[in-house]
This record gives sequence, structure tokens and C-alpha cells, in this order.
Amino acid sequence: MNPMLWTSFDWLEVADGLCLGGALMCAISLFAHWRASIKGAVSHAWSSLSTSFMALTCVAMAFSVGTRWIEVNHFPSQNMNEVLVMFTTALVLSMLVLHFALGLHRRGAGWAILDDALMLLVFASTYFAHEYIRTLNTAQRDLPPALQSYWFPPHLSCLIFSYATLGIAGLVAIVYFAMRFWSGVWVGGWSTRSQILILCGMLFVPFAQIVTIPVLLLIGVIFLGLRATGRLPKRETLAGLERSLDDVSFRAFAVGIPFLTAGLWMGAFWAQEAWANYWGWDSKENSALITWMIYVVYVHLRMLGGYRGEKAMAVLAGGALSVFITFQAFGYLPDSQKSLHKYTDDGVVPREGMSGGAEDDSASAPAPAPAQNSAR
Amino acid sequence: MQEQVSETAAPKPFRWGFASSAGVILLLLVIGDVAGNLLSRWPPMRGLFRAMGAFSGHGRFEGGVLDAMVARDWLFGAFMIAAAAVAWFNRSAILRFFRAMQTGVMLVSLTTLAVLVGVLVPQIENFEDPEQRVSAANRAEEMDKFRWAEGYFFYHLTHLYGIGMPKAEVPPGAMEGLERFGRIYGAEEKKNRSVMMNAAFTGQAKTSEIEDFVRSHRKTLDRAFGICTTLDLNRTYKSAWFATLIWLLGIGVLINTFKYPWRALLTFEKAGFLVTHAGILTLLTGGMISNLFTDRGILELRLGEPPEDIYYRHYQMNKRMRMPFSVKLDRFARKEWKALDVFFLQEKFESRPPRYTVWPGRRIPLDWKPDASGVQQPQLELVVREVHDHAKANDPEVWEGKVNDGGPNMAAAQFDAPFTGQHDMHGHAEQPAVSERRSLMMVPEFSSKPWIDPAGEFRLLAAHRGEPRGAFPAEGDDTFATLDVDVMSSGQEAPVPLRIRLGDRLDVAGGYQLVVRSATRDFKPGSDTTERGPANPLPLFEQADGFRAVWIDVVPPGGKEPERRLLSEVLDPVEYGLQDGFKYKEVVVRLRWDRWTEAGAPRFVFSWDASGKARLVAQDGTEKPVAIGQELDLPGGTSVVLKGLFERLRAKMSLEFTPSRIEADGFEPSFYERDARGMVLDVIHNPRTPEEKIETIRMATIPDSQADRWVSNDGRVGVQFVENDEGFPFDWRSVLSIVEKDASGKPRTMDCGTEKEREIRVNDYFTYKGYRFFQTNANPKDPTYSGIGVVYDPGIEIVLLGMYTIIAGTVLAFLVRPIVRGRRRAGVTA
Repeated sequence: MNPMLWTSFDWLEVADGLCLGGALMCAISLFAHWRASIKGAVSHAWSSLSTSFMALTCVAMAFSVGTRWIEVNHFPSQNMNEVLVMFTTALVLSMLVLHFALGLHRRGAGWAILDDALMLLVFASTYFAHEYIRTLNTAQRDLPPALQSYWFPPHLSCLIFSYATLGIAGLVAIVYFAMRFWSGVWVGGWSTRSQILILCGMLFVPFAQIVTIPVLLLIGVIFLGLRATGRLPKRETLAGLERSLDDVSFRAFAVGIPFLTAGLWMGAFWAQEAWANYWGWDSKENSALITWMIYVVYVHLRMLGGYRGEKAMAVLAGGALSVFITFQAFGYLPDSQKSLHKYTDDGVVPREGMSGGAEDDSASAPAPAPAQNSAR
Repeated sequence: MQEQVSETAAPKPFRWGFASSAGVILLLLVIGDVAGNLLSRWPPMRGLFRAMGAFSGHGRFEGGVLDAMVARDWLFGAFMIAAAAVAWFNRSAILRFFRAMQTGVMLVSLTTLAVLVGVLVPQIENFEDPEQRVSAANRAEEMDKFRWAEGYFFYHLTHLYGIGMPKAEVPPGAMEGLERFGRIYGAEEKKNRSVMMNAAFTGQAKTSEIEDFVRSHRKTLDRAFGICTTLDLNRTYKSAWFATLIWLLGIGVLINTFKYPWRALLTFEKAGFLVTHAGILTLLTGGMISNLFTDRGILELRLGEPPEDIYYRHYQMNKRMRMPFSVKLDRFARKEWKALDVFFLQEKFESRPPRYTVWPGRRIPLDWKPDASGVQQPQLELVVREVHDHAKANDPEVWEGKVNDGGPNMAAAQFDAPFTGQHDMHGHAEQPAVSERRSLMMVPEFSSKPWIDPAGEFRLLAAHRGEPRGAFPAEGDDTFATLDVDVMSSGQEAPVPLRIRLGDRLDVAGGYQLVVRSATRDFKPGSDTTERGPANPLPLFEQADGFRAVWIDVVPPGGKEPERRLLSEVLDPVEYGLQDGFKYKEVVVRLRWDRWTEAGAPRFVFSWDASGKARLVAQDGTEKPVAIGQELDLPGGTSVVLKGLFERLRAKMSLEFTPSRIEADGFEPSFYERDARGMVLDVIHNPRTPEEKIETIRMATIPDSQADRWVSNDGRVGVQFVENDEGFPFDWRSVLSIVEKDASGKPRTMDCGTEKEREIRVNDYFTYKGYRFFQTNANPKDPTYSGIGVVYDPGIEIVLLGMYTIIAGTVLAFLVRPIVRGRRRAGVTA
């Protein structure tokens, strides 16, 4: 076979096709599981098909990362375009891992519906993320010396995988709150204040239009359907489902947190090798540390304080928000203007490897400037 | 009755809640901040720090600590003792406080909040220096940065999803240029340029709005800056309150880790908990040591200079620190990325073509046209077959081509001249002169740069056909450089070239003006700064022949504040990311110094025509015929001999590529050699079609030769192989040796192992007596200089151990434990 065929192929397009097919399979599977929950006979045929689509998408994404690796001749995480492709790959892989690790589809039709819904959301997120990725700059960039380290791939991979997994845990928390909102509207039992708080939280988090609002609408449609058919669940049933969602979110978190920890400290190992400075209080490092500490709070609240339900879920959603800020929005933070980690921004030349020369006028001499002659 | 009284009298232990815990922690932070600041000035503590070598790397005991104590210091000492006594007598209450889950959660939450404060408040420059504060010297600068950073943040916070933000489109004129560019360099290149242009258009309008935002909230922002400074929020991580918080966190972790009996701790169930918490304690211990003892800075070394024992602390030249030994730079080299510039010579694109980094197997499709089915296909493809780190070239074999032999009609003059390596296509000074003679090819159609006499006695330009006198600058023309100006919002397709002289005020697109303030021929990055201007006091054209730079003011329309810029011919503002930091980002200005028109050594034009008649024309109009084999009549002692004239130059390079030499221990001595780079390139015409034709070219990055360039037979495409010194290097390495004085005071080179062991690279440092030396920077134009980062930090190993332990702990707690438990449970069920 012509070796060019593999590298010239647009694997992102292939993955998008698979995402659309997978989303359709998930929707059918969700419907089938719903019917099965009514009739009592569970069939996983559609679910297996959507899982197969997920696996194929994962392979296509791996090819996309691989071909880009060949194309740019280094681990492809040097600009936002490449990092986001890594992220969607991790998202699909993470969902696949969680699908088997949590085994939701094996627990019964109700659980299988949740599994289908999560997979559907992951397919949709991947597809729309790719739409966004296509608008970004794809220019190849050389790796500055500091990035030519064996820590680069594991540090990035661990962090991105953890972001994806913890993102899914956050997604479960969002599903939980969306359910709480609609059950409050149609079944009752919650205070108006709590309803308003949930709605505000859903509408005003960053990227609400592609994460929380679609989830809120999807759950709303399901509740409307249930109401129309007179099958609105009782409070007790909902309470059971909420407990289960809490359990699922914790398991997803448990998969992600060791990777977040490893990714975070791998960055420190790397910085120590590059600049003998394991922690430079750089805003990106600090944002990642904040995320990690939010999850530390979550663990302590849950395991020591016995927190379950909305409070624990709120902290988990806060963790996901912190992941988002660290990953995508950190460039807007006030202390990020001089960050060493801005290399993924368009038009910004990375500063890694440049700690600067001895300066008596540091404000006017940017870090990448050649070193000064010492005025001794 | 008696019993009832005793029951009611027994106080119930206070139950700590989140609010009460947070309140106590905040109170402790206030006390800790005050005590910490007093403690750092307390003579016994200062004496102890000095004796331990805190912040300096080497301790020394100086007596007289108690003599320095005044009444206030004794009072503070008494307070400390009293506080310790109170804590001891209330230890059970303190233990109960720290053991409360609420306290633990609040400690972690407040630490998170504290780190967040450091992210939301821009930290002052050099905040890692424990002595650094906002002072009269840096207040204005820090406040300015604060205003901008906060303005930037709040502007985006109030424009979520881009709602209300200005949007700009690439103007049709520019799109037309982009289309043409895309046809040559491909749709992806076009898209990327379009993305960048859109970002630039929008960015400028946005910057303007942020500036308005900052202006209208200036008083509030200035007040906020004052508060942040008072509370040490702009040096959060070095503040006493942050240190107190970390201490409290450490105490909390310590107490809670060991609140369980050992037997309970040493179980599989608790293994993850124990390991993670032990890791956190280890990390905090190491961090404390680092915080107390770390010192860092830069050591500036040069090849051939004596050993150096002084480094500049925290990269500040006024803070010197002496090491207990000296460091010598034995070897140093910086290697650039190998890259290809591809020119479509007839297209006359004024904007810079893309530069392609090369590696074996890299394919560069170019010149796109639709095929029969309308699908865009490249008409030309460059495929890099081999890349070599060491290339040597003999003089090229050259001959005159025939009229219809299919080769390009490129006229050239060949000289025998000293090898200077002076200029490449961009006019950069490349390498120091070497006493070697080489074949000098001058191809007027390919490059219009003059050849500069290494002795500085003359400048020589080649001209083919036409009137050679037209090549001299007009009388009274005192311009010395060209500014390529691109105002992104103007919609111009390409940068506009503007000739400049000192004092010029030039109108450019978008209502901007550029004022040429000053210039230098001898740019020194250390002393010549944007604000101060050139340090060299000599008139411009009496200055040494070094790197050129110009200072300009960018004056925006509407009477806004002008922006001072320093333009250097060796730093492309976009490539180096400087543009991003400019105030008026949409105005891109690049400097092209003109070594021909600038005042200086006498100019001569060597001219010849199709008949082979050659002459050397001096600027005063005198001309002398030149025959092949004859030395040109030029001033000074430099000999330039005409070797040949060609109307249709055909050349065959004899290039020799040699592999890198790597010793048994992995040391690569050849890295430090200054050889040119080599490449074997396939030029594929009409790739993957029946008309496919492949030309294989061997190239080397040798300036002034034909080895670094190739032109297609039809003269349409030109390729230049360069070492890209405009961005980050590919690698830089130094080999150090350590010199210490022996008992008699004589310097002695210490045995620190092989060169491999003494070599430092980015991500691979060298350690001696606790000092770590790592490669931090270099000057692409000063091959003798190496900037070496110095760090003395005895806490590193402990911190790393802590981090590894935390990772192991989380894996145990969250991955291993649930899996083992699940299996055990499954086993029990079975």
C-alpha cells in the first residue's frame, strides 16, 4: 500500500463520520433501552453497536494523532489545534474505558440508558469540538529545546486523559443537576431557591451552549416525554437514580485523579530537569494545582464528611470548571500574561528554555531576546 | 441533685464548623503574617539564617546576635515564648481543632483560594526573589502591568462568548492576495494566514477597547493595586501569610495522618491514604527547605575567558553572588533548525514566504492547480531525503549553459575572494571571518546584497547589463534602511517598504505615523534598551560594524500615546513573539538595513554584459575594465580576482556530508564544530502523474556559494537552505569545568568526570557541590556566549520524593484498592 495514503488521509473527517454514526446508534440504543425498561426485556444489541463505533472513532483519532505526529515530526501538542485533537482522542478513549470499567450497561436498562446518554454526549462533544478545531491555525511549529524532553508525551497525555475523564465525571454531575432541575419542575420536592441556583449555574458557566444547555434540554425533553406518557418517576425512584449518579461520578473521578496527579507532578519533574526549578509558580502550574486541590476537597468531603448528592456534585462540577479554565481559558487570567505555558496560543512563540539573561531592564527585554553582554 | 449539677457543668467540646474553622485559620494567618515579618527581622533569626546559609547557598556564623537586640526584639522573643507556652497548655484543643474534618477541608480550600489569588493578581517581576518588593523604582511599571492584566481579564469576563466584542473581517483586497498565496503555497497555508489576519484585525480593535476599559477604571485599578501591595497579594507565594497557611496545612496533614494507630495505618485499606499523606508531608518538608535555602541566578560565560565565580541573583545585574568555586566554559555551541525558504521568483510576493523546517521524509507540496476532476493537486513537491549535520563543499564546478538546454538564464560572476560568510539572502551577518579563500558567486537576479570587504575598505555590488551607475544611491540620499510596514486593518496585501533616515516622520496606513528616533550599527542587547536607546556615543557611521537596530515611535491616530519600539535586524518581531507584547499590535514593522546605501566604505559596482565585457565602476564615476583572471582594483589589501562570467550559469557542487562523531559514552564532539548543514532534496515536478520528473539536489548551508540555493530551470522557483536563527534554536549545549583554589591559593581544575558528564543541555543539568547548572540562553549572533542558569536548592530531592510518593498513593487509593476490593468481593460471592 502507498504509505502516503495513511498520512494524507483526513482521519478527523473519518472520526467525524463515525461520531455521527455512533451518536445515531446511541440514540437508537437509548430508545431501545427505554422500551426495554418498560417491557422488562433488556437487549444490548444497539449498545454493542454504539460501543463499536466508539472503539472505531478511537482508532480513527489515534490515526489522526499519529499522522500529525509524522507530519510535524514531533509529539503533536505544540499548538491548540494539536492539543484539542489530543483531548478529543482522550475523551473518546476515556469514555470507552469508563464504559467497560463502570459496566453500567450490565446493571440493567435504567443504567444502560445513562450509559447511552453519556456516550451520545461524548460523540456530540467530539464532533462539535472538531468543528471548532478546523477553525484554528494548523501551522507546524518547531519544538523549542525545553520541549524536546521525554517528559513531554507522558506529561501531556496524563493530563489530557485526566481532563477527559474528570470532564466526564463533571458531565455526570451536570446530568445530575439537570435531572434535579426538571424533577423539581415536574415532580416537586425542591425549594425554588435551589431550582434558581441550578438554573443559574447551568446557564452561566463557560461554554454553556455546548455543554450544560444541551444537557438541560435533553433531560428536559426526556422528562416532557415521561410526563406526556404519564410515566414521571416518583421521588423515591429519582432519589435512587441520584445516588447512582453520585456513585458513577465518583468512579469516573477515581479513574481520572491518579492521572491528574501524575500529570501535574510530571510537569514538576520536567521543570526540575529543565531549570532545576520544580515549581515556578507559573499561572498554568497554579491553575492545575488549584484543580487538583479542588478534587482533594471533594475527596475529603465525600470520604470523611460522608457528603453525597448535590454538595459533592457541586464540588465535582467546580473541579470540571477548573479543568476547563486550566485547559482553555487560562490565557485570560491576569497572571498568565508572562506564563511559560502560552505556547499553545496562536501568534505566541513559546518561551520554554529561555529564562532570560541577567537584566537591568527586564521590562523592555522580552524573554526570547538574545542574551546580553554582561556589563562587568 | 449533685449529679445533675456536675452534668450541666461539664462543658460539651466545641464542634468545629466550616465557618468557625475558616475564621480561626484567617485569624492565624493575620497573626502569622505579622509574626513572620517580625521574625524575619529578629536578630536571632537573622543570625540563624546566616549561619545556616539561607538564601545564599553557604552559611557563615557571625557572632554578636544578642548585642544587636533592642527592647522591642526582647519583647518579641517573650511573646514567642508565651505563645508557645499557650499552645502547649492547650494542645488537646489544638489537636481537636486540626482533627476536625471541617478544619482540614477549610485548610485545603483556603490554600486553593490563596493559590487562586496569586493567579488573579499578577505577581511582580522577580517575585521569587525573597527581597523583591514593590518600591519607588518599579511601582509605575508594576502598576501598569497590573492595570493591563486586570483590564484584560475583566474585559473578557464581561464579554463571555465574545458577546459585544468587536469583530473584523479580512478585507477583500487582502483576501485576493491570500488567494494568490494559497494557489502557490497551498490551501492550509492560506487558511492559517487568514486565521492570523483575522486574529490581528480583531485583536487590535479589542486592545483598543481594553485600553478604554483600563482608562475608565484607572482609579479603581490603582486602588486595587495599592491594596494588593499592602496585603502582599502581588507576591503571594513569598508572603508570610502564605507561609503560615502552608505551615498550618502541613500541621493539619501531620496530625490527621497519624491520628490513627499504627496497626490501622499499616493495612491495605489505609495504604493509599498513608502513602499519599506521607508524600504530601515529604513534599512540604522539601518545599520548606527549598524556600529557605534556594538561591538562583545566571552565570554569564564566554569561550576563551577565565573561570567565573559570580552569578547574577534572580537575573538582576545589581545582585551578585560569589560561589565557593569558579566555572569555566570549555565548549559551547548553539544549533539552529534546518529550514527551507521557497521563493516563486516571478510571483513577486512581498510578504514573507513560509519557512519550512526540514527533516528526512518531509514533503512540501507547492504550486497547486485543479486537475481534470477539479481537485487541487500540487505541481511541485519537495521531498527531503537526507539531512546531515556536517557538510563541506569544494569550489563548485561551473560552466556556461547552452541557450536551449532547459536551464535558467541566470547570469553570474565568479570571484576568488576571502571567505567571510557575510551575507545570506536576508542580509544577515552570519559567521565570524575565517582566513580562507573561496569561490564567491554573485548572482544579481537572485540577490542584490553587496559583498562587504572583511577589512571594511570597500563594498562591492554586482550588476548585469544596464547602467552600473544607476546602482549607486542618488546624491544626497542619506537613507540607510527600509522599514517593511504592515498595518493589518488597512487591508493591504503585503507590507509597504519605506526608506528611512534619522528623524523621518512617515505616514503609514490606518492613520499611524512612524518616527525614526535613533539607530545604531553596533547593537548591544544588554545596554541598548527600548527606553534608553543606543548606548554607543559615536555618530552612527563611525560605530563598529555590528548588528543594526533602529528605535522608532509608533504614533497612533487620535492623539493617543505613542509607542517606542526597538527594531533589530536579527529579531523578527513576529517570529520572536515580540509583536504580541506591543501596544499597537496591528502595526507590524520589520527592519531591513541596507549595507549598500548606508554611509560607509567606498562603493564599487562590478558590471558586465552579454559580450563578456566587464568593468569596475567606482562611485565617483571612474571605471576600469576587468579581464578574467585579473584582480579588481579595489582599495585596501583584500584581493578579489575575477574567475569567470556566465550568462547562463550552470553549476555542480561537490558536497561532502560526514556523519556526527559520537564517542563511546555518548558525547558528541562534532556538535561543537561549526560545519555547515547538508541536505539531499528531491524536487518532484508534476508528482504522481505520468509526467512526473524528479531532480535530486545536494545542498549545504554555506553562504556566498551556490550550495545553499537552487533555482528551477525555468527560473520560476528558488529554494534556499538555511539555518533558521530567527526563532528558538534546535539545541544548545555547553561543557563546563570547575576550578577551585587549593590550600596554597593556586587555581586547580577539579576532576568532575568526562566531557559527557560535564556537558549541560536543556533538560540535562550538571551539578557540583549542590549547585545545578543548566543551559538557559544564548545569543544567535555571539557564538562564544553561553547563559548558564545557576540554582542552589537542597530541597529538590526531598520534594521529588514527595511527588513520586503522592502519585503512588493516589494510584494505590483510587485504582489498586477498588480493583483489589472488587476482586475480593467477587471471590467472596463466588
